[in-house]
Amino acid sequence: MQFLSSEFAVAFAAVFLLYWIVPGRAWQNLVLLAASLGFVLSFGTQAAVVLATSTLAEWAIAQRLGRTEPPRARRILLWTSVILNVGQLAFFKYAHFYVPELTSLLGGLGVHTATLHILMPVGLSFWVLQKMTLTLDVFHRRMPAEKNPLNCLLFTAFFPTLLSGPIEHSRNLLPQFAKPRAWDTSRFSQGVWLFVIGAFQKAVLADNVGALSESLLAPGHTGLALMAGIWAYAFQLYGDFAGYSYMARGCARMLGIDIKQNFLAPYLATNVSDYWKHWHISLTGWLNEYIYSTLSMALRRWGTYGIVAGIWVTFIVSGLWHGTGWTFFAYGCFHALGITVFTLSKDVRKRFKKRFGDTGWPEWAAVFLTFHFVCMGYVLFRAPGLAGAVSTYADLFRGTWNPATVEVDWLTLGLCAAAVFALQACIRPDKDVMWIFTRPVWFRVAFYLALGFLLLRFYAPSDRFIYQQF
Amino acid sequence: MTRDALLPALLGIARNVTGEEDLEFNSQTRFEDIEEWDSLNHIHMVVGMEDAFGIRFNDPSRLQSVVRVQDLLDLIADLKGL
Repeated sequence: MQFLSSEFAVAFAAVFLLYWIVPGRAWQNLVLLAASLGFVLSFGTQAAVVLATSTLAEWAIAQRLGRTEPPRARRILLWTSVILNVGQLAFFKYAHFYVPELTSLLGGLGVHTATLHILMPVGLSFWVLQKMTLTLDVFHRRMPAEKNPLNCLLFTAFFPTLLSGPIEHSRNLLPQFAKPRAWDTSRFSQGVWLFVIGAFQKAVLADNVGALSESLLAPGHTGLALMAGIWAYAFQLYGDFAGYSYMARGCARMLGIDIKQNFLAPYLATNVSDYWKHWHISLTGWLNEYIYSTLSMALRRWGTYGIVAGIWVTFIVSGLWHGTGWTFFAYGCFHALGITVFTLSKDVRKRFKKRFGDTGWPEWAAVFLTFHFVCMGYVLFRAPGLAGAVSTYADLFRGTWNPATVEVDWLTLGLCAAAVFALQACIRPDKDVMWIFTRPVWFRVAFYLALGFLLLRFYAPSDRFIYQQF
Repeated sequence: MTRDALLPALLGIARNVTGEEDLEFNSQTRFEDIEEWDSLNHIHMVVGMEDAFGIRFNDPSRLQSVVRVQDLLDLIADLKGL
């Protein structure tokens, strides 16, 4: 069941009505839990069983941790959680690496490899990281252990964030589940707006430009046509994932729950570090808090080497979180290299700035270079294998770069690019899409009408969300 | 060392780590507003503070929770037993 499906619309309307009719927080949470479990079940019973059992195990560890004081015992409980969760991710995500070996072993026990594929739970990579914060936040004493296992289950299965995040922290969501939620019309309006702007990014931008990227990135294209395909993929990926994230925030806010912002105009970033502060913010924040900070602190006596080690480990984990295979490992290394160069060149840049002043490097040039660095990373991200990625890089230098002689639907690509950058330019100053509520009424009406026209005219939703494969 | 001496000492370490002799902040300054206090300098600052104040930041979560300079001064004072 996807956000942009009639089944979801009917189910959400029913849940929404029931949620605001029932009396009090406890009943509201029960409605949310039933809806979330129903959402998981719509993808299969195995997914629900894996999610429920592993969440209850996490709850038990967090409970024990909350009652434990000796540092060594606390560390043992933390590592138990880490091993169980990483093991869970590795077992399901990397199954195809060891399926051939497992096949013979499981075959003898009467279990077939097809069963492994069925068992792959939806949104696993997202909700496993989210679930881990139940223990991590208690370990770091950011909140007490949640006593009610049903609240933990609701936290992990919360249907707006289940499939593709944003990856939430228990310290943010659980206190909201514990508070009474009263109807607020302005927050409902914000939720509707978030959902509509998300739907626009997914069903109008991503899914229209997606067809273009598919055709231009097919074998045979070189030079500018191939570059146009990479641009199209960049806009598709942004529209697809940011669109999902905005819709998730919208659903949650309509139910009186605030979940974190996941994208904040990443393609207007002026350097690679800035990009990662604005792209998939919830994952970057999670990795920064629990891996980079922990590691760089542990290795602080190594000085700059410790920091660089922290950067590389964090980005390699990020790459491998996205998927299996060497392309994702290379994607992590690509960005680790970019961040390392940016970080270590700080003094050089500062000296350059002191000597030549601030005039020589316009912001648009920094945005242009950063965007194209990110685009080159997407080649690794999308390629089926390392050889394919290398071949794509090589093909960029073949063929023509004359726009008049390449066959590209420049109008669609140009409109999507204009829409993506214009939207991000609106988002960047306010740090959110809520800028619309600060504009005059005539502007809002005109904007809603234009958006409505574009949604009706170019609405082309696909069932596929790129990030759901992770 | 007294609590009052912590802020000037901290400023001295920060100027030394960042190489910015004219760097200024006070106890109410938020760390996100100190441009030079980035992730790279943060680690160097931690080492600098440990060496200068004779303390160990063994619990990274306490450092992660500081927002203003005053929070850090309180943490240092706590670790030094001031």
